[in-house]
Amino acid sequence: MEPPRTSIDDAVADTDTGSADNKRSVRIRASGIEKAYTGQDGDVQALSGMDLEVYDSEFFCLLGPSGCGKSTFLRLVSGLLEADAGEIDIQTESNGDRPTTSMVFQEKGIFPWKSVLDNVAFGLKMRGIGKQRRYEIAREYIQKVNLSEFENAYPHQLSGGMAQRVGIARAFANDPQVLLMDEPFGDLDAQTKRYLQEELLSLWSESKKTVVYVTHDIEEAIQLGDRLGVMGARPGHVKEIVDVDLDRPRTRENLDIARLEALQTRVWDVLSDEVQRTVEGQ
Amino acid sequence: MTLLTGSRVVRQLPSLLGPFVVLALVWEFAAGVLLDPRFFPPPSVTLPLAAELYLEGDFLTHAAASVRRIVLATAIGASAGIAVGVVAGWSRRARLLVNPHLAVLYPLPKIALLPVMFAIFGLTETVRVLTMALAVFLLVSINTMGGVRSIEDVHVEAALDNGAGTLDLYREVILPGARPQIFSSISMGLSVGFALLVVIEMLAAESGLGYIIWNSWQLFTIPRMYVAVFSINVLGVLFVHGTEVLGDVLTPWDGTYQQ
Repeated sequence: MEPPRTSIDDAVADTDTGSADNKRSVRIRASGIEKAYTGQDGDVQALSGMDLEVYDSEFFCLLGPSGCGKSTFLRLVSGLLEADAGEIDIQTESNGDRPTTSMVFQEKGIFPWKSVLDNVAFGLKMRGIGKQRRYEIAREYIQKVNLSEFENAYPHQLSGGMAQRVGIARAFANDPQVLLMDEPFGDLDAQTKRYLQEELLSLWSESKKTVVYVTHDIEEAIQLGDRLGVMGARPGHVKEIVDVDLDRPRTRENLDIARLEALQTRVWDVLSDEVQRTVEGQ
Repeated sequence: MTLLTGSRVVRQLPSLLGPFVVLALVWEFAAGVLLDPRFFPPPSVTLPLAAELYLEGDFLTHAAASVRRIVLATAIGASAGIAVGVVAGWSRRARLLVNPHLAVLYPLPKIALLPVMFAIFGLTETVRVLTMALAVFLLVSINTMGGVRSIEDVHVEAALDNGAGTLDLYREVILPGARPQIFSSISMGLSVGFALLVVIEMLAAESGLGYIIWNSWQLFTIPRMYVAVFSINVLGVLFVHGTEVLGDVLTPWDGTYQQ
C-alpha cells in the first residue's frame, strides 16, 4: 500500500524521471558516489560506485553489515562529509527556511550540558528563532514523544530510550525536508526498541517526511521501511533494492507472516555472503 | 539559594568546620600541659588577638593585599589558560605548537623563576602576581585542552548538523563541554596559587599574610603569626571550595549536582 501522492508530486516525477512506470518523485538521488578515508594503514575505500534513489515521503531503510559504509553515506547526504566523486541531489522545497536534512544520531547525539528543552530547541536556536517561539515548538515535540515531565531534566537523568526520544524530538522540531537516522535504536533493549519504533512511525505518518534510516537489523528494516536498500561492503554500494509490500500498520494481528518471512529470507540471502566476507576478512 | 543548596560542596560545608573546632578544643586543653604556650598559644589567646588585629590593627590591609594578589593572578592565569586551552584543544596544529612548551614549563616549580622575573620586571607587584598567574595558567590550559579533546565527535557533528557556525560551536559545544575540567583546574590552580602566595610574600613583599607570618616569626610575636596562618587557611578554604561550588552550580549536568 503506497502512501497517497499529490498531483504536484506526480507532475514533478514525470518531468523529472521521464519514466512512465515510475510515478513517484525522487527526493534524493545519489549517483556514482566515491568516498575514501585516510586510515592508519593507508586509504580505506568506504563507498564506491554507490547509486541510490529515495522517493519523496517514503521511509527508506539502508541495511547492511557493520562497516559497509551506510553511516558514511548518511553523512554525505547530511553534508557533514563530502564525497570524493559523484553527486547527491536533494530536491528541496523553495518555501520557508526549513533545513534540508536533520540527523538522529546513534547514541549520545544529544548534548549532556543542555536540558531536554534546550536540546530539542537547539536547531531552532541555530536558525535564529527567538526564545519564546522556539520553546513553544520544542515543547510541542517534547509532548509528542511523551517527555513533557522531563523538559528540565539533563540527559544523565534519562534512560537510553528517553535520551533517544529527545534526539528524535529535536530532529522533528527542526522540521527538515529529509530525516536521516543513524541506527537510532541500536543500543536499546528489544522492548524499548519496539515501543520507540511505533512512536517514530506515528510521528512519521503525521508528517510524511522522507526518511533515510540506517540499520543492520533485518527485522527492524522490514518493520519500518517502505523500501530497503541492501548494501554490500568493501567498498560499500547498494546491492539490491527490496520493496516491503506489507500493509501498515504492521501490527502483530495485521501482519502477513508468510510474506514477512519471505522478505526476511530474501534480504538474508542478499546479505549472507556479504556478512561472510566481512567476518572472514577480519 | 535553591541553586546553592544543590551543590555537593555546600552540603559538605558544615563538616569543614569540624576540623577547626576539634583543633581549637584539643589545643586549648593541651596548652600549658603538653604544649609550650610560647610556641603554641591557645585559642583563648589567639582569638581575642585576631579580633584586635583585624578591628584595630593592620590585618585587614594585609589580608586585602593577599586577596588582591590571588584574585588578580587567578583571573589573569585562568582567562589566558582557558583561551590557550580551548584553541589548542580544538586545533591539532595549535596543539603541536603549544604542547611542548606547556609540557616543559608544567613540572618546573614556578617559585624558581622568581629571581628571573625580578630581573625582567624589577622588584614589583607585577612579578608577584605574574608568577602565581603562570602556575594557574599552566594548570588551567592543560586541563582545558584535555576537556576540549574529551568532547565526543558526535556532539560536534550534532551541532554542525543543526546548523551551528564556528562561533556557535565554541559557545554551545566546546566551552560547556570543557567546563567541568575548567572549574576543577581553577580550583587546583588556586591551591597552588596560595602556596606560591605565601612563599612569595615571605621572600619578597612588605605586605600580605605571608609577609606577616615570616615577620612575626622573626620578631617572635608567635600569637600574631598564628592569626595570620589561620587567616590564610580560611581564605584558602573559601576560595578553593568556593570555586568548586561555583563549578557545581554552573555544570548542573555533571552529575555531582542534585536538585
